[in-house]
Amino acid sequence: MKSKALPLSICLVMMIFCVVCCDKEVQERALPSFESTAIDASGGTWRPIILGSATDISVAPASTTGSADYLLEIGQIVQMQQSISNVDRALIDQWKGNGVLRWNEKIRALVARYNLAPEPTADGTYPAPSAANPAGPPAFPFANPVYAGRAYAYFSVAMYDALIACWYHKFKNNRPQPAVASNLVQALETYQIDMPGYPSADAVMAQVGYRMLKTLFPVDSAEILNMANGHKRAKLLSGMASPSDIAAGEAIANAVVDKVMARFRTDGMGQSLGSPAQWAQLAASAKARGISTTWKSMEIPARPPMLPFFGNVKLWNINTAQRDSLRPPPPPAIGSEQFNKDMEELRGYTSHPTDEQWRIATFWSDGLGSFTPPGHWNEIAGESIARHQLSEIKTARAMALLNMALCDAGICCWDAKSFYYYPRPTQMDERIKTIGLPNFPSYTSGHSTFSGAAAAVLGYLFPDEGQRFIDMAQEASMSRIYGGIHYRFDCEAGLKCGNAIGSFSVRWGQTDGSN
Amino acid sequence: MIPARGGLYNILMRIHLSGHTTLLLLLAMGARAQMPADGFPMQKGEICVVAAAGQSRWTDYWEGKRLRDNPNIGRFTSTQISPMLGWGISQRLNVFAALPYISNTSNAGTMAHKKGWQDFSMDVKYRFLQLQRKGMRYSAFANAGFSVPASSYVPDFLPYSIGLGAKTAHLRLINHLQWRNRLFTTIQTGYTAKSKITVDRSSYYNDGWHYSHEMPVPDVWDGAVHAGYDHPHFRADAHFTWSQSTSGSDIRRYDMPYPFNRMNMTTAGVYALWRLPGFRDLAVIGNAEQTLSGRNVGKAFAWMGGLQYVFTLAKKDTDEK
Repeated sequence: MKSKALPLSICLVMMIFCVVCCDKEVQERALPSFESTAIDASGGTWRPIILGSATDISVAPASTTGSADYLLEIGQIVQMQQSISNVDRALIDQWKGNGVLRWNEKIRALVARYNLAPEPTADGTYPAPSAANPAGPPAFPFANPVYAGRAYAYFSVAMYDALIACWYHKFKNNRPQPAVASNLVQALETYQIDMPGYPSADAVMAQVGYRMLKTLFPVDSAEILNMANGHKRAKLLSGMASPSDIAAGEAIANAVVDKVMARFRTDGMGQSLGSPAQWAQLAASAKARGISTTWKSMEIPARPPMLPFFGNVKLWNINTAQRDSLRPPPPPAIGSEQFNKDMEELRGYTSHPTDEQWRIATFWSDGLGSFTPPGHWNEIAGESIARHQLSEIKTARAMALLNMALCDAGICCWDAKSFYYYPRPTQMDERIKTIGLPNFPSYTSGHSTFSGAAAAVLGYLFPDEGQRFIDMAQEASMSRIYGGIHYRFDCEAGLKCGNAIGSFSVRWGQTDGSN
Repeated sequence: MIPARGGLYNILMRIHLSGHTTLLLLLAMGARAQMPADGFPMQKGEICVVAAAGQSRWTDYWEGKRLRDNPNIGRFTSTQISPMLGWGISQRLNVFAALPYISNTSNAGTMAHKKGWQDFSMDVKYRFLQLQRKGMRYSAFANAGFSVPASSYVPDFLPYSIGLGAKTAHLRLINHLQWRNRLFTTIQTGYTAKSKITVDRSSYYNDGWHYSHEMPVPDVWDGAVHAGYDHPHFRADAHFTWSQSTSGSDIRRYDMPYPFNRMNMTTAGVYALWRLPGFRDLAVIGNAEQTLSGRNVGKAFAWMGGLQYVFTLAKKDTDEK
């Protein structure tokens, strides 16, 4: 028996060992990849966000396909295709799908990389990240949810406006793509034969991506430039763009980004942190409004509230009067029946969370080190865009509408948070432990506001999935109660306010000439 | 005479180490299951039952290679209760099973604390070689085992998670040298393979942004050197251990730890076993251990104490000596 037991056990263990070892490769979700067949030839007439109209941007007329200049360009492409390498082929493959989505994925990844809070210095203060010293510490930026929401908005708006201008000039010049214009050039990816080549939409995306992201994430400029160059090179190689197509696209991108950056630099973000005296004033004002215990940081050492004056940043689709009228009514008085009831509810969740409640709380947490709740909704939007096979300009429109709403949601929510300066549940009862307590006031819930706005916009863009978005927003909102960081009344007010904010983006979309 | 209670020692060490490691590290339990890793086999027919409890505590931890404190965690405490069972199928072949219950808390901060049954593990240890010359005896053992999560605990909430959630399997080689049944040294090393795990979040940052519900958990090479004295009434040793992940990323500056982090450590400790006079089958055991160096783990002090009870099902196998 002894002699058999040993080999048997060894065999058994080796089998288990092998199963475990072979089970190591992490399966990642495939990122949306598709070739849209839509041309959206009227794109150049749609109403841009920051530009007055597409005609604000001028581009030199394209040379004709028979001109000596153009034939020289064709020669360059032919030469590149003759010496194409495997690396080049991989590059073509990387960029063959929807470029707007690829760049949206890039900004999400950068947000996640930079979504880490500054650490305190020895004297217990927290140095603010500075664009003047981006490497830090602390690194610039701290891509927290509102910084990210604003970054996604500017990025998406620049992408959209530049593509509108690009579409305008494409159909004005109507010069075909190189692979269509010349038999000498091979088409190394799927293409739309009726899509004009000049200016190159890919060059527009790459240049907007580079210009915007190097401002938002300056430390990674070189990496971003490399990505943009790869994008442009892929289109030269695949026969989709000539050097002049690309140069014209870059010119459009540069002109649009200049205009977008002018707004970016003067939208009030620079004043969103404030000073210790101003923070004290926020608490005093809230007290005067009847909040008997005002918010304080539960971190050690106490951390300044996250950008408490972000509520004053320039809005996209509503004005400040509308913001004020959208501000939810005061939260229940501390100690009131409503307060005690909602407090009791979350005590139950935090003391005995079910597996499902913990799963929901974690799935939507999108906290430090993540792409933030706006990033999560960008991912969700990307999946629907792929499901509906939108063209690149329609993709850019969807992302612009969504991210303007998300940015406005962040602004309105932060306005309410600073206005009421309401304490977190844990501040009122330190026994309440959380999945990770955000360092800013409780009322209203940021996740709920973001999600309410996103569900409204996505429900308009993809009506067949409307109920799904509503359910997701509801779950994202509830996740904050399960996680022990919000009262139910925070979440309900946020969701409602977010929905109203989203409807302003929807109204823009309904009248922008794209339908 | 060969000490009859050797299996207990194994179990204890395992308990101690798994608990210790867990706590210590921002938790890499099982990262080095060291249990059936000693050089003292149980006799044929012996059943050994161990009830042990221990704690591991740290205030400072290594964020990557940087040792820091975290006032929003304060002092982290992991408490473990470990029921364990050993069985001498023969003097050459022993099997072990264990299932720890762990509670992780800290005295500051707002993060949820976690507790529950961790991983069920089983081990076999086989002596494949024994040589004697004059007063010296050399024994070599092979140990193999596996562990699986015993409950639906949350692995992705470090440092409060009670385990990493991975299925693991390990192989280990143990060399034991003893002089006149008294002075001994044990040198052992092993490799633990760990499965990927499924987590609740759908994307995460691990040297880049990943769209997945799955996380990799690094494999671990570990080992230990023991030197001690054995006696019919007691046994004591001093030991040095090391543990190295074979992959994994560092905790980013001011970020949270994750199951995919590289967790390395060395520790030094002492162990003692004392058989109660008048109760030959009952012994008190204890262990204390300090983390000396580390990476993405807590700089912990850990102790464990317990009782072991040995009884015999069948007649002892006396072919040994």
